[in-house]
Amino acid sequence: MATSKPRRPGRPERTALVRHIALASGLLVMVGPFAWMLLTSLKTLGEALQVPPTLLPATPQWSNYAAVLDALPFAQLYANTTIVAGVRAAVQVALCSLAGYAFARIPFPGRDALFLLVLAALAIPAPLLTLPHYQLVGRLGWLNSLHGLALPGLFSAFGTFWLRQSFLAIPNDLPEAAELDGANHWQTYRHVMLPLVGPSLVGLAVITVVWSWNELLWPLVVNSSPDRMTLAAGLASLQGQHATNIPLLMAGVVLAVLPPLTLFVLGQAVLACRQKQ
Amino acid sequence: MAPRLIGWLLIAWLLCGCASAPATLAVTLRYALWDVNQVPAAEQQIAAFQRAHPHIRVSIELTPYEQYWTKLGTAARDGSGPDVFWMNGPNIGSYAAAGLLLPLEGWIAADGLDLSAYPAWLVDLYTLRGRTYAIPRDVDTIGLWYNKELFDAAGLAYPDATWDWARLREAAQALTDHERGVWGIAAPLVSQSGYYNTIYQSGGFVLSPDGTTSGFDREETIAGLRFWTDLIDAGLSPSHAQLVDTPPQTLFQSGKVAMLYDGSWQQRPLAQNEQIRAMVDVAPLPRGRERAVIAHGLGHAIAARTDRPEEAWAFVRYLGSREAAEILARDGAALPAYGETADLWVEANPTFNLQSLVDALDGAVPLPTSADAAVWWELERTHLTRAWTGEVSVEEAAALLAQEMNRVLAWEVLPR
Amino acid sequence: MSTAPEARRSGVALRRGLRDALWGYAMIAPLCLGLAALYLGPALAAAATSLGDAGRFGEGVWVGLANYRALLADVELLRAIANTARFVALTVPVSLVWGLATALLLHSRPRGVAVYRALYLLPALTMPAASALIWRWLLNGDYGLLNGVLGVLGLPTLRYLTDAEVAPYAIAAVATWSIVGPTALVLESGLRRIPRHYYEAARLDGASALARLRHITLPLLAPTLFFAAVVTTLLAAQTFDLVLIMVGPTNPALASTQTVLYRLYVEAIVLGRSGYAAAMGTAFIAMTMGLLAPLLWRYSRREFQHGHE
Repeated sequence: MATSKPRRPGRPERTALVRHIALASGLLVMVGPFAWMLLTSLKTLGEALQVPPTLLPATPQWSNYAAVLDALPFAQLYANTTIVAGVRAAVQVALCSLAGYAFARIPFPGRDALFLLVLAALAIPAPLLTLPHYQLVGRLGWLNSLHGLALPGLFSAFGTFWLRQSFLAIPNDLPEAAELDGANHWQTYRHVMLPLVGPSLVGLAVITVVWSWNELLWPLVVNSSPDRMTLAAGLASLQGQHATNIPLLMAGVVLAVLPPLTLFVLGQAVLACRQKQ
Repeated sequence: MAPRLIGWLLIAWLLCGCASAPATLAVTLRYALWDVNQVPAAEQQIAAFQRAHPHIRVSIELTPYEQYWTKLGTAARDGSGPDVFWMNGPNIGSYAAAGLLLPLEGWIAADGLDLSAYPAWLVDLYTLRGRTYAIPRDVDTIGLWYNKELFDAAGLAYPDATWDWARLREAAQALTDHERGVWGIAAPLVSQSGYYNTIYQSGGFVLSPDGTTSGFDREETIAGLRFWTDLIDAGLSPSHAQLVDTPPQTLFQSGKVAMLYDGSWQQRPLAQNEQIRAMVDVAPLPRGRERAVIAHGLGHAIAARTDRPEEAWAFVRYLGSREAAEILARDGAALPAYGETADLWVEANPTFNLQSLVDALDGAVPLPTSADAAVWWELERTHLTRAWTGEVSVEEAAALLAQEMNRVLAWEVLPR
Repeated sequence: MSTAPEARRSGVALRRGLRDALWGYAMIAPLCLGLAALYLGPALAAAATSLGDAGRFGEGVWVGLANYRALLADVELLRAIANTARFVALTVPVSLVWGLATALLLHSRPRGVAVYRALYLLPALTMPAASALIWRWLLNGDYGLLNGVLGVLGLPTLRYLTDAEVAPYAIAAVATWSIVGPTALVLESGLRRIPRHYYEAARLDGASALARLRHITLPLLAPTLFFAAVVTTLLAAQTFDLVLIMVGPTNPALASTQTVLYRLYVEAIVLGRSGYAAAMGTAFIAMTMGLLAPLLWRYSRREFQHGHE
């Protein structure tokens, strides 16, 4: 871990402290609403609906967590959500880095025009995509399956754009040296360039998982049986047409968020350890 | 090493998606609905049905209301939707016009099914051009919910069937206490549980019986709208902005608003609010010039492209039977359309005086709807918002609304 | 003047060009085929639908460009375009600056950085409907926490979500809140690839933190920053979920907050006017790409002219 050389005694501690204060204040804004969600999940229905809202519950209603675990098959929801998110992340990392490398470093005819077309995919409004995706998945016979659910998220213009920019940021001398050594594009990509964009690959995987976690309309449209539901779909089913059991919903949200968050923290620790080795 | 392993696992997983599911001997019907609170009752009904029909399995598909119609519409268009599903007034017109529903009158006649067990207006709601597209499931209506504690504190007698608009205004006046942040009544901009009721109570109408003319520019209709804006202007109700910021039910359940027009569907959520349930009750809506209350109810429809029409009809017929209605009534979440089971529903929900709601169904006006209802409802929202905020007068807003609504109605595909 | 070496050179160049083309197409093929099926296809289908007056469930007759002519006369849509532009102008710069500041802070690896990174992603990981509920309570005009605090401090209180003047800023704030985490993550991954020895060399030369930022970080982060800016802009321009759950159809502030895609949602889903909505969507794609393409073209040129040292 890099530390700055001390110029004067006490300086790095002060800088570190300032950094912590800055991060923590930003964090307060980021996490504040979630803290309220947590508190609401421990309230009774009456308390949750009161205006002016009370900050703390009179007695923490841990039973809400038992109730939501009873109401939704969390194990199944987690399994479905994780599988779909994981598959999407893996496929995106592979395909987007391949394409990103080509767009960044291989001068082939029509490259820039094709890249613009790829980017155009980012500009397509979501409501226009639901029906075509449903029809495509239907034709593949993948309705009501995790395959059908994962499909639209396997190909990403976002990821391709990101990886292209990442490959562009690598200085020319490294791949040129590889080429002089007689490496073809695959070898350059696989052995020289790919390792250099590690942070972007990890970042893409993380963002794909995060985005997949909350995707709501598509899972609801493409799947119908309860055992194919994702976390987002399950939580949404707790919402009634006219009234929602808010503490129950909030308990569900907390349960849906804490495990991936914890895994993310642990994952970073693991990565950090492996980098040190 | 790891990436290669992941790669092979991925390919294996993708490939097994191509394998087809094994065929089963039983017929499976897909049954779509949107209310998680009614799943227990539905499951009981299905269990009873499956006992009587061992070769038919029914699987429930729950989609939250927000996404229900998008999902159903997408799937139905593709021919891959559920076999039996919940239908409501707002959507019956467009689904029937698009040919997505199986007409049922043939089956009804063949089985000699007696539809008089259901309210006539509800059967009519789901009958278009002489073809019946859904069998009624349940009934909902609107009541005057009030806070007994606030009434006691003000020394007022509780609302009852004798109340009229004048009496309501008096009570709202007595109950409003701005210092304590309490209003007598809430006047939100909602149609089914709000201004539609007062429109019909003052002798106006939303849609002419033949479905071709808007009633919004009529004097009586405008009087029905002014009922609400007058309450806001007099300070007896929170302002429109306040009611958009904080939902009326939240205000009511916090004791900030003493009276609220709302649906019979609120009785379950209110009964679950441990802080408010002992303090709240319901009464019939006060009468205007006339007695009227907007009534509506869900129906069970069959997909036109189902490949199991016989079994689907058997299921729908069962769901409309007395036995199924009794299951629904005893569960208590919904008031069944099968008229004679209303008592069971009232018994199942002893917290509130629900009998008053059942009695008030005599003056029921079915929810006004048409094939393009979605369009003129949006027009209502746009124009009446400006009236509720006081940006324009009610007369002006209503006149513009009627004009545009008539234009929409002129283009409609399916006359009643 | 022998032509043999020249001929050999141009032959080599030709083979290299062919090799590059083959490799290029092969490497982009899986992704491009997938995108073509899942995005290009639907876009073309939408363009086709836009030339008819299809209703909620399809069908409809050919109307040519009538839908597009109607778009130009759609006052609400024109207002929505202005709203969207303002929304993008509010959200993108703030989230980029905040995201960059956060990325820089995280990059310095303070204690507990793993926890910080995870918690910054919390808004993006939380169910949007639940977040909206909480924000509606926090920003509630009568009983909200924000107004409560401001009231105690003697500051003026506002109706954040129902006042036409204030609501656009409130919605932009919530949108920024949910996107800062992922933006910081993207930018931090860019920061990671800047070799540390550049900074050490600069420090030895006596460069201040600000100078290091200006002369090392920002130029080398430029490709990633550009990416973040473009994507954030595109995402912000396509917001409608947020408006739907925080503002809603009878809100007096709707006119000043509804975005282009909110109008599209209303036309497509609420009103069931598929043809018109498809025209709106196609026009949206054309407009955004029309605005972005020249920018991208110029930037691409510069990237290759400048080189990387």
